[in-house]
Amino acid sequence: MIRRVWREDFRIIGYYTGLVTIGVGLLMLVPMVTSFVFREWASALDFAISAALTLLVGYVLALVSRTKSTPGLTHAMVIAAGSWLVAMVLSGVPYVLSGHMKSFLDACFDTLSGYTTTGMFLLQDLDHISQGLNMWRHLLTYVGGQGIVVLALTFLIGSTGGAFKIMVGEGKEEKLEPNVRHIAVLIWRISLIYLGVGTVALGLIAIANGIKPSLAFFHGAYVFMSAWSTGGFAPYSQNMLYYHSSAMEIASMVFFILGSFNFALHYAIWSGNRKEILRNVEIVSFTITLLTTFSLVCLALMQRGVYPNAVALFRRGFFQLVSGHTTTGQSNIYARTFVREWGPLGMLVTTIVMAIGASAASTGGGFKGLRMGIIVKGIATDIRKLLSPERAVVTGHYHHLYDHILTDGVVKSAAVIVVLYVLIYVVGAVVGMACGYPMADALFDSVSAGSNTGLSCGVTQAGMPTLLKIVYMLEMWMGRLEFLSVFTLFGFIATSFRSMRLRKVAA
Amino acid sequence: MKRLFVVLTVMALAVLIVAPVCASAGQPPLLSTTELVENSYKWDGQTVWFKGEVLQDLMVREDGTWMNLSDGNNTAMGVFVPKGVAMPAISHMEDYRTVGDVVLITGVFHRVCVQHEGETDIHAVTVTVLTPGSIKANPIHLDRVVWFVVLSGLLGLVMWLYYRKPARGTEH
Amino acid sequence: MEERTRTKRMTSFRRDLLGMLTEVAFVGSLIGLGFLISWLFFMGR
Repeated sequence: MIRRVWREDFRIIGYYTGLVTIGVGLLMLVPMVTSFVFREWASALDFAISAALTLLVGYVLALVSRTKSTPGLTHAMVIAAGSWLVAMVLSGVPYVLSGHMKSFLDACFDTLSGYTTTGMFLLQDLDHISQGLNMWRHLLTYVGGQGIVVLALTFLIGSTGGAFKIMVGEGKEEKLEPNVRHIAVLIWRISLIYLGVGTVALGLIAIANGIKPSLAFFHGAYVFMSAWSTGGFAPYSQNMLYYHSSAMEIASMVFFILGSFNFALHYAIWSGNRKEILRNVEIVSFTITLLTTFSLVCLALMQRGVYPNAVALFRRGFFQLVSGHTTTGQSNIYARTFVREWGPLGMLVTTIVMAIGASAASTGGGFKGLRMGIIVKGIATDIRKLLSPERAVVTGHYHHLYDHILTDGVVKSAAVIVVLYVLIYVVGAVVGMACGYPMADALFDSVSAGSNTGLSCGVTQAGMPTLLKIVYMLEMWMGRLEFLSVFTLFGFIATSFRSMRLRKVAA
Repeated sequence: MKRLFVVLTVMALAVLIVAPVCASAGQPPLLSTTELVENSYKWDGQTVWFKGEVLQDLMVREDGTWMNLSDGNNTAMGVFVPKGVAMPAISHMEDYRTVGDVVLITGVFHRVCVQHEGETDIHAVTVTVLTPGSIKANPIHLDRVVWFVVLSGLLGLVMWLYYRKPARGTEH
Repeated sequence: MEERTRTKRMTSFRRDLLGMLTEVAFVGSLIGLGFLISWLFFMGR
């Protein structure tokens, strides 16, 4: 993207970023109403202020840069990366107003963690926040999972070719239907139906477990939003331990596994192509890696005698592992238990599954199952080529909605992104170690940030070094957007400076 | 007379020396969530004291009641009160508008509770309410109201400007 | 409501439901396999 940057480029970016910001401002009305319902007046006022501010910024941006031009691919990438940052900062305002944050940076960490569906948090005294703020935290992950951009698309823009490109910038590249609005509506329909079903199911389980009906469905909604978006927030600091309920955990697990599936897969199955669930390369990859790594975890935990029986081993071991593999981050053990009881092998296996991550075009993070499948099949194909007679033509295939040919180009693209992920994981781990954390701990939390998982073994807390906070924030952001969008943003900024200098020289 | 005095002194000294030892041997330590989790193997199966604020949901089940007690910044522990144990009335549970009762319990800490499928919890043996809860103030600050009014005013202005002008194309 | 619209809605609802059930059933079996693995490890002990 080495071309001159014109004023019109800024307008396009400004205008669409403004529209996304307006979407975020409207979203803040939900927690505001929640606070009103619970008679949390001060909290409601905080959200009213935040909404007014966000809408103001959004409308000013849109007004100043109003344009009829449609975004090109570059613009879309920049808008995708840039609007995340704007949303992150403005969404932090309610957090700061609540008084539960030690700094504005911490607030940005939490909102970025929410939008990227990571789930790590630096919020102080989570057990004492308002229902409004809890609604906001969980809503952030739900919306973030759907992509802030898709939100704006659905409600604010007519169907344009430009909007499709914004979504590609977001990292959801599936070619579902030619019309982007149709895709957005479809994604929302599946998510909203599950939202309804999930909230009711989890709410009923909560009631059965002794929670008051008036609160139970809020718990249900929070846990569902956290699970489906593979976010990992929970309304209390004990995360899923708060509920002391295996039914709650299993139901949540069902939803977070579903949330980690490719939206194209959901679309295929909901359109009648039900066999796809057994043939899809990502599902096959996920099943194999999940069951193998779980066996490894069982080995590690049995060797250390951590759990006394199969039920405990399953309930704690499997939940954490699946939570990690789907990059959810909900937990039914304390963070430090990873270090103090699970031990190095247990932690390493969990780190590996977080690194691999969920399916492509889903709410999850990590390398993605699609790339794992492609790379493994690529290696297998290369081996077959080596073993075959020279004149034989060997082609590999993989099945993802359709049968695809495994070209060198496909394998290379997959490998490049995997390398980039490994790079951020390692850089984060090295910085963590430089800050004094042990290797297993530093690697665990770094991979958790870069894969947008959110499990922590104790490194992530408000007292951690500022440098590490910033490194994790960069990891979360780059990991969620799968790099291309972020690189385009930096490239755009660099070339706009260059263009400005060139114009000055020419004048 | 002198002998009686000596015997009494020895007895008094004995009581003074032995009593504190007995008392500390019988008194469970007051621990925090952090300490319990960090040294879970050490405290596993031990009787401990735990103190915390009762969080919002008190969950009554068939075999007992679950309480979550908050004892610090983002630390809380699950306490199970079995059916047989006397449970005092909890007047306030934590909420945005309420400070919950602070409760002191003695109980057995489990690193991985067998009854509860591997959970890290405390099974209470005694439960006492130390400090009853109260209503929290959460005052509305006037300067925030002012901010809201100002921002809304500006927003209204900008929205009016935005929606009133017919959409400009690229004039450049 | 037009008969055709109603039939279309029912078919769409039925497909949504079957889709959801397929997915949940699959995930349920994954979870079941997980439990089987942990059980096997303890049997093996």
